[in-house]
Amino acid sequence: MSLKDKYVICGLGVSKQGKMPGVNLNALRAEVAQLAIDDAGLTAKDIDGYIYQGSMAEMRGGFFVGGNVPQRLGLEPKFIWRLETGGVTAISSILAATGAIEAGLVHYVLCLYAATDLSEGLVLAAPPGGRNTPGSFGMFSPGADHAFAARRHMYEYGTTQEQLGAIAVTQRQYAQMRPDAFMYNRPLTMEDYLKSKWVAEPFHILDMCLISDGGIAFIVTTPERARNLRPKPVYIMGIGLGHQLTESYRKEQYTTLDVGPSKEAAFQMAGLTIEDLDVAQLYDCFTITVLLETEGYGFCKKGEGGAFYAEGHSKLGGKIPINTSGGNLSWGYNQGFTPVAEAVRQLRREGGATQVKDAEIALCSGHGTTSLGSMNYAHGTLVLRR
Amino acid sequence: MAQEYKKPLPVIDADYKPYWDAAKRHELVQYRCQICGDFSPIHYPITGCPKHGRSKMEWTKVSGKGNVYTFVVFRMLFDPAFKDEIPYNVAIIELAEGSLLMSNIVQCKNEDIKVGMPVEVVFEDVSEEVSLPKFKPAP
Repeated sequence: MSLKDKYVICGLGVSKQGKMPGVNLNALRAEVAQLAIDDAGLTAKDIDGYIYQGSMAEMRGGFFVGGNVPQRLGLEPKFIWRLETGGVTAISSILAATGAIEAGLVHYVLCLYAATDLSEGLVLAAPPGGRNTPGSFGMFSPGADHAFAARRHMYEYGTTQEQLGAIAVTQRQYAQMRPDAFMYNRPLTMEDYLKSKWVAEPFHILDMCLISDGGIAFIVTTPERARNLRPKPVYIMGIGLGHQLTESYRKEQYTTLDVGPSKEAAFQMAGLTIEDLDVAQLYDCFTITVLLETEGYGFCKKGEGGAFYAEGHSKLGGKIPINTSGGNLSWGYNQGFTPVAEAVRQLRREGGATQVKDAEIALCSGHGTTSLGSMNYAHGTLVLRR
Repeated sequence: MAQEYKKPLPVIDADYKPYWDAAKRHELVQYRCQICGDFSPIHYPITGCPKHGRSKMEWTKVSGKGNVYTFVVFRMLFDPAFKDEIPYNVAIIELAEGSLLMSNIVQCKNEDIKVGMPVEVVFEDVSEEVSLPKFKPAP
């Protein structure tokens, strides 16, 4: 049984993105939740399910993550779930929401992410692989883990630093057309990129997503319950999740992302191919991630992801506009909620100066892990339509 | 020596004790399937055989020879214990037997490291319990 077109996103809340010194994380969560509720034209009492992803800075503090958002807003949810599948969480939360609605338990599920990681000075240094063995060799951060992939991709396919830079520069160009982007009014040239600080070669700081304060919330319900609401509902056409754990037995894991099973499931459910997509929001924790997803989804041939971006195929009017808000690299880092929010905006034709004309079908992806190590990640695929 | 060493040390648990015991003897071992003879492809985290799971895996001495599969050069400091090392490299080594291993390239300038470069193991005795397998350019 497929869930195609049986559920919709009926409300979207997006906070300011950037640095908000002194902001209270739970107040920020309550703000984006209220924005989503108001956008849908619902009241707090209508929300009967609540799913959220904790912030990275907050999770350093241990088990008690999530705070008092329902009490602040007067929600009366039947469940409060903290869901963690890294950058796949937004897509996982939609799947969990549809399951709870399908079971007849709830009608409107609020899915939310917010963080004050920038104000809290987060530096993401968790050693990949857990325990301390990588740390004993000086190996720290998911960024360096992905930089391994970038180096190997350069070796096997001749991908260049400038081609990685083209991803960062293109997304920054999108952000220059979006006044709500953290990096709005902060243009970036290739020269700026190449001169920017090294973190772990071949990664510059500009190969890495922002660390920012901000949040996103959306509400999942049925088309019937969305019918009388103000915004145009965005239909969930297909969802896929996958790990491709057998990849960990193959060296290709350093040059290939675990897109396959997730993409196949979602595209089959939606009954479409990439030719049908009008816009894509690919999860962008790092430039190389975007490149590997672009190859994995088949927007270009394997090994040609660098040229794809250098030739401008992801720009407005290109083969497929990708990460049209500036994404996690330049708009604001909200884990996998950034791609979903932008896809909803595009399909509601709320993309402003980066609106893709007549966008009917959008792809979103998520890439993440709860156990770092050897580029062995989870992937999520979401296909939405207006 | 043990008192001066400030960097993180590997956690030596039951899974990994044979590996670190061998390293202390300056022997490099890898996890190998006794059914098909294949080495566990990724040393870290510990895995089984793609075909036969973990039922018949055994630590087996390997040549210590291989090549650089990929590497990064850290120029940003994440842990103060590495302050004097910046910039330093971390590499994935492809062993001649086929498995991948995380380590550092030593006795070689960072700018001279190349993917595909032949390397061989050398051991650094860093504490009473731990010798770290590192790799130097091979002739």
